[in-house]
Amino acid sequence: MFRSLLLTLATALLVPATAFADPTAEELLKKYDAVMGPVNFLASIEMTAHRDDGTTRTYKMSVLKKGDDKFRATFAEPAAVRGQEMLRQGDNLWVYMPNLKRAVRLANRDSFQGGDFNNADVLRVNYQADYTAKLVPDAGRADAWELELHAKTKDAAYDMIKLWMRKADSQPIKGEYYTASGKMLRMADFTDFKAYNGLTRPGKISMKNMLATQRYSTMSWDAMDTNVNPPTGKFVLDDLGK
Amino acid sequence: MRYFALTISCLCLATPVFADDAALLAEPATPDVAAPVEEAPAEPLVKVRATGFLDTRTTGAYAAVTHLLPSDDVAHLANLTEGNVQLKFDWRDKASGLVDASFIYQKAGLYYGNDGTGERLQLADHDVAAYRPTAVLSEFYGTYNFHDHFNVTLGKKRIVWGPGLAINPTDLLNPPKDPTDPTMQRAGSWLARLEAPFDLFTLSFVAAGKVTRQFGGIPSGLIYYPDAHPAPSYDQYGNVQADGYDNRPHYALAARAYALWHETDIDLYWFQTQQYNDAFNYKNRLGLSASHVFFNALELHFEAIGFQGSSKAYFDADCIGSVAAFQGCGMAGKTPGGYTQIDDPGVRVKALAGGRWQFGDNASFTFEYFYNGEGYNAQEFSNFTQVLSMRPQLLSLMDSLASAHVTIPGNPLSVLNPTATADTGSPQKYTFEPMRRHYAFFTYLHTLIADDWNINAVVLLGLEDLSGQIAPQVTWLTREWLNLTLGGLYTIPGVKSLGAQVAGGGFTENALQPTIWRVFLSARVFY
Repeated sequence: MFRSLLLTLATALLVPATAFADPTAEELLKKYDAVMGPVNFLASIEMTAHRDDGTTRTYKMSVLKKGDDKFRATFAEPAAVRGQEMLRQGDNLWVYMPNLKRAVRLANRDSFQGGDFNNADVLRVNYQADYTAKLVPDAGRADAWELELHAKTKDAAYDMIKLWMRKADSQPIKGEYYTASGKMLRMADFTDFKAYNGLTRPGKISMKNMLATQRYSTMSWDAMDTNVNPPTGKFVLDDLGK
Repeated sequence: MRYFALTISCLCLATPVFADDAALLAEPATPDVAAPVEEAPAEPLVKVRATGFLDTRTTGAYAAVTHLLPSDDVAHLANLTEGNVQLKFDWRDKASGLVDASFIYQKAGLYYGNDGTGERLQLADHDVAAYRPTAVLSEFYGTYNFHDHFNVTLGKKRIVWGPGLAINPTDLLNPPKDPTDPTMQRAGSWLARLEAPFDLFTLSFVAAGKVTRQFGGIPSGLIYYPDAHPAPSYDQYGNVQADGYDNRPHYALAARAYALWHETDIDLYWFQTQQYNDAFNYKNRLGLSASHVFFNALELHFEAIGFQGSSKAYFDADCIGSVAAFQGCGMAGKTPGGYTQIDDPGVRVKALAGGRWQFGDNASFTFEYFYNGEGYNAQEFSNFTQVLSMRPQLLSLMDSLASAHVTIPGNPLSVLNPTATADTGSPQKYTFEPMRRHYAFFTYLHTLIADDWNINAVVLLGLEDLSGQIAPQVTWLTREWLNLTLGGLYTIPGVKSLGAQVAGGGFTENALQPTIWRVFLSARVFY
């Protein structure tokens, strides 16, 4: 009796230490990638760029992802860019321009259709591959973990990222994106958490341009299907424009 | 047993939420989670997407009447209105197709010519083929995927494999480009393509046929002339006229192996062409190209093709010193000019090397150098220019010889138009058909300046005589559905002393043609 009581007590003391231990930075990064860039998905996304003068431009696109590093975005709206496509395979990025009937290589750092996201924000969601992460001990807020990410490849979109993830469910809620010199380029808010076929994730990201503070862009996921297995042939250069 | 159960329950509680991805994906919604998205309706069997534009472009131009190529057919004021429709079909992932068709109405006027003393003379408005209404079928093809790694495409399609921006020396399939007006190069070729795409490499085989006859842009003859031996036509003196028809095939075959190797696009090519877009007969050519991005901002590319012989026309210096010498050669049965090096065993190379620097603000600058291994050297260009300068007198000579039922072998004046062998596929006003050997291209593109403006400028420069073209454009993205573009073209006359010294003057390559400048205003409505 005494032995079983002792065992129960010992176990009970052990539980909080393990069950409520902070996750490691690597675990949070893995969670981020699983939520923001599931292995395979087909998503319908709407991006609205809010400009200095208060006007907006809205783009609609479908994004197809396979594995860690294959992305293909196809623009449907507005009509002026309809049929334009972007393909990422590994560290390679191409854009297909239907008015020229051809594809050209791009670097990752360009802005995504002139909005406040850059190409890699949309087409390169693999933070585990691109960044090393460490947990910041004092996150400044009790309900979230703060991660500091440093680029570990030349193809990473940013030199440094600060990322806040909610303690309740490890969902990303805020990001800040910096140059190597520490200048903040962009700031993102992750909101409108939704379940997409069983995957819960932010349904909207608002990206604020810190270099032109009147500007910001929002990206909303209208639909997302993770139960897809697109053929490899969808992610080759020669398939663009078909 | 109770202890075991308790221990298991404790372990479960202690398991981090990151234990596996399945748990992550199945995680219950948090309180601020919206209702699950409803099931999407079943996908239609065939998806059809329609898009296109209506474009009206008004062009003003100024043509010199004293240049060696005549200005008679250059309209100084023209309007081109184009209605374009693009229909895209998708049948699940099995098949797809595209129709890209334009219907073009043109109105042109204000023609000027030389009055014989070098002065401008306004000519009566007249019919010019380049300004006729036409239908342009830029693309019209279907693709069927027999397998993830094998598909077949049939129809008219523009396939560009090489990475060059201004021109592509390995592009033997498509009509020649207008590097100063990128929007006028959408037309493809009629072809069948077998393609085997894999993750990191692709194998392609293409068989393309030349359009041998068309009406208003709609082809009625392919590969062979539909009536290779029609009833002979006669000139005013009763001589049988050469109509250019033959009973040989006109085709291009191409095989290409592409690999993505160390983040570099690498292509190897083999072509065989038979009087397709040039004068070569059953000509085999080998090519290669590569493209790689350095420092996440600088793309470098290289593109080359090698072959034997030359598809250019050459003139015999002994026959072109004067009209009498020209006639003397002809009467002696000697061809004054023609495709005399077409079977020459010497290997020639066309190569393009360039780089594109991407700035961080949607801007890029591209520099490309082009070496044209079959281009004229100074003497050959001088010979060509000499014949061009004598063209009016030679035409009179040919006419008088025809009246005496005498013909000069080789039809030497027909080769003066370097673009005669190619169908441009669209009403573009300028095609780059390089005559010399060394060229440079500079392309600056800056999109979304102040959100609503695009600018681009292309400079084409012949490095032997520094003549060229400069073509700037400004586009105002007025609405999401409306673009207004102001553009122009100016001919850089070059340095005359570096050009051909003929008939007491210096003639540079780009100043042979009459257009001095062109300005256009275009409004394009997308739907």
